[in-house]
Parts: sequence; structure tokens; C-alpha cells
Amino acid sequence: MPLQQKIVVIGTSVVVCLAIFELVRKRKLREEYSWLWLLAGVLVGLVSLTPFRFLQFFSSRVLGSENPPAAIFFLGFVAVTLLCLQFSVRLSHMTEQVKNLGQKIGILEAQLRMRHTLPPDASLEEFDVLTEDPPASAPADPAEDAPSS
Amino acid sequence: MILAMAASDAAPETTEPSANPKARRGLALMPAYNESGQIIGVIKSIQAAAPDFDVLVIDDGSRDHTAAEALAAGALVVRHPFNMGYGAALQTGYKFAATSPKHYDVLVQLDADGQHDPKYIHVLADRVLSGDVDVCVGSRFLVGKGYIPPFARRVGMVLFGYIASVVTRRRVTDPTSGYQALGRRVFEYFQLDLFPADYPDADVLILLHRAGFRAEEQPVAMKQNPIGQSMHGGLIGPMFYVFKMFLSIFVTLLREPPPPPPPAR
Repeated sequence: MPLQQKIVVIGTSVVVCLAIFELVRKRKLREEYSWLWLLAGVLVGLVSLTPFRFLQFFSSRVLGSENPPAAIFFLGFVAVTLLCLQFSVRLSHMTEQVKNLGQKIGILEAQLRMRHTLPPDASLEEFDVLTEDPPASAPADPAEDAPSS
Repeated sequence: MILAMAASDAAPETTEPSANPKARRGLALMPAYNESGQIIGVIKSIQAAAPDFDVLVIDDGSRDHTAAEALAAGALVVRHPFNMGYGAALQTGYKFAATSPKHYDVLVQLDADGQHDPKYIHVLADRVLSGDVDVCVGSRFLVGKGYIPPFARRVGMVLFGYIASVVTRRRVTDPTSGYQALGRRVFEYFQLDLFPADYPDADVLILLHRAGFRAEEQPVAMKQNPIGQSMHGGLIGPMFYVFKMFLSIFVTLLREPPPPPPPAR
């Protein structure tokens, strides 16, 4: 691999890793997700340091490709796909959790309403933040200010 | 405590104490999404046809006044903070019924668009209360009358009805029917995460069979939805429905048998 290419790849790897550390430091990325991305960044750097002859050997013998760059692209694509799959799994899990939470909130509100500890009309309409233009009567109604939710 | 809860209940039909303390308690469950305007009439017709049943409306995050109107009509209302889909709304109803201090013995679910004639509530519920079956599904095809759905939808019904019939070893004529009566053991069981929360259909019949519940069909008449589209329609196109149901039935059969429900008391 030409020296210039090596520098570019290693530079990319370092920038990716630094960006991840920065995101974790700012609490924009949870630690539990960061390790996957750090691994990806480090792997990019490692690939550039791998001897070209080994890549040639690997791509021709294992993947059946005479074109090592294509092999690298293929592996990179597989890695990204797996990462996306992992996120879909987590998303499905969270969808389930959110569903259970939403159901519980609805049932608890209904039980409170039945015990008259909640204004009878509380939480029956869309939340204000979600409606584009809230009904004009809403702010004038003192019952709306009650700590309902 | 239980008496106090019952007395403070919003549903008017519960304010009268039952003459027979051993009377079976029934709940009519209606998931509703943006049904403002017609929900009151549907609730009134249920209250007229089955005055001994409480009516529970699950408002699945409607953007109109569905919940307020249902409450005004005398129904119990659970409102989802956001839209979660038909299956999730059904499951909310199961959870409400299973955890309610009123100890419901039977739950009858029907659509909020008035498609299901409430006069069959007792027909379905009585089959479950008799103890012969755990689930009684209202089928519009056991009697050759009433609303016949469009051709594309009928093909799907026949196809999945056939698959469900083969798997459950009983005749399933209307696998998409949402008009069902469930016994207490069933809706307690469906609180589990194994209940398909997106679009329950023929796969639920197979799930019930594999969990060891007994199900049967009874003839009911269904009306055509006046609006033409219910929660079943919308963005879920027929193509996706067929794909999803195939996938769902396939993986339901591939899975380990579901955990058995607790024995009947």
C-alpha cells in the first residue's frame, strides 16, 4: 500500500476514534454503544497496516477474489450490515419496552381517573407539545394546569 | 377497597349492584383510533345490547376527541400516549382486564367502527362462560349473508384460513375476524410479550392452539365499515399484510412451543 494511502487511512481511523471519544465525553453517545464504533475505527487502521501480500493471499484464497481492494470493500460492507442488524435488534427491544410503558401509563391514568384522583378530562387529548395548534380554550381552563401527568 | 373502586366507576351500568354476587363479569373491549363522531353511537349500541358488560375503549393515541367522547358515553377509557397499533391496543385491554379489581370472567373484543353487531356479544361470551371453549371467534362466513369483503381481501382470508385450519386441526373460516370472546385464562396469558403487538390475526389462532387453548367459531353478521377504512386498513397495504402474515405464521411454527398457561381454577 502506498505511503500516502496509509497516512490517509490511519488519519481517518484516528479521526473516527477521536470523534467517538468526544461524543462519549459529551454524553451524546452511551458507552455501551461506543465500543462497537471504536472497534470499527481501530479495524480500519489495522487494515492499512496489514502487509499487502497478506491481503492478496487472504482475498484470493479465502474469498476467491484476485482484487484485494474489492475484498476489503466486501468485508467493510458486511461489517456495516451487521452493525445495522444489531441496531435493528436493539430497536425492536426498545419498541417492546416503549409499548409496555405506554400501556402501563394508559392503564394507570385510567385507574386514577376511576378513583377521581385525576381531573376527569385529563390526558384525553393530544399532548400540547405534539399538537400543531392547541385548542384556544385549553390555556383558559384552570383544570389543565393541574398536575395531571 | 374493591367495592369502593366499583362504586366510583365511571361506567353507569356498574352503579347498580348485581343481584347475584356470583354473577359473571364481562368486559367489551374496543380499540379505537380517530373514531370521533361514531364512537358514541357504537358504545350506546353495546350498552343497549349487553347492559351487564362494562365497555372499555382503548384510544390508541387518536388526534381527535375519541377518548373524551367515549368517556362521556359512559365507557371506561384507557388512552395510549401515542399511536402503537391495533395489537398493542388489544393487549392494553387484556392487561387492564386482567389487573382490574372487578375480576372480569370474559372479554369480548369488537371493532369501534360499528362493523360488529353487538347483539352477538352474549352469543360469543356465553360459549366461553359455559367452559366448553377458551376462545370463541365470530365468523361472518358460517352463515352466507351479510357483508362480503372485496376479492383481494377474500383471497387472503381463504389462504390464511386454510393454513390455520391445517395447523389447528379445526375449520377456520374467518381468520381475520376481530370479533372474539376470550376467557380469563386467555387474556391473562396474552399479557405476555409473546402476543403479536403489531397486527394479530391467523397467527394468534395458531399461537392459541399451540398454547393448548380451545377455540371455535360462531356465526355472526358483520356490516360494511361505513367509512371503508378501519385500523386494519390505513398504510398497511394488502401486500405487506400477506407478507407479514406468512412470516408471522412461519416463525410462530418454528419457535419453541409457547409456555403453557396456568391451569384453570
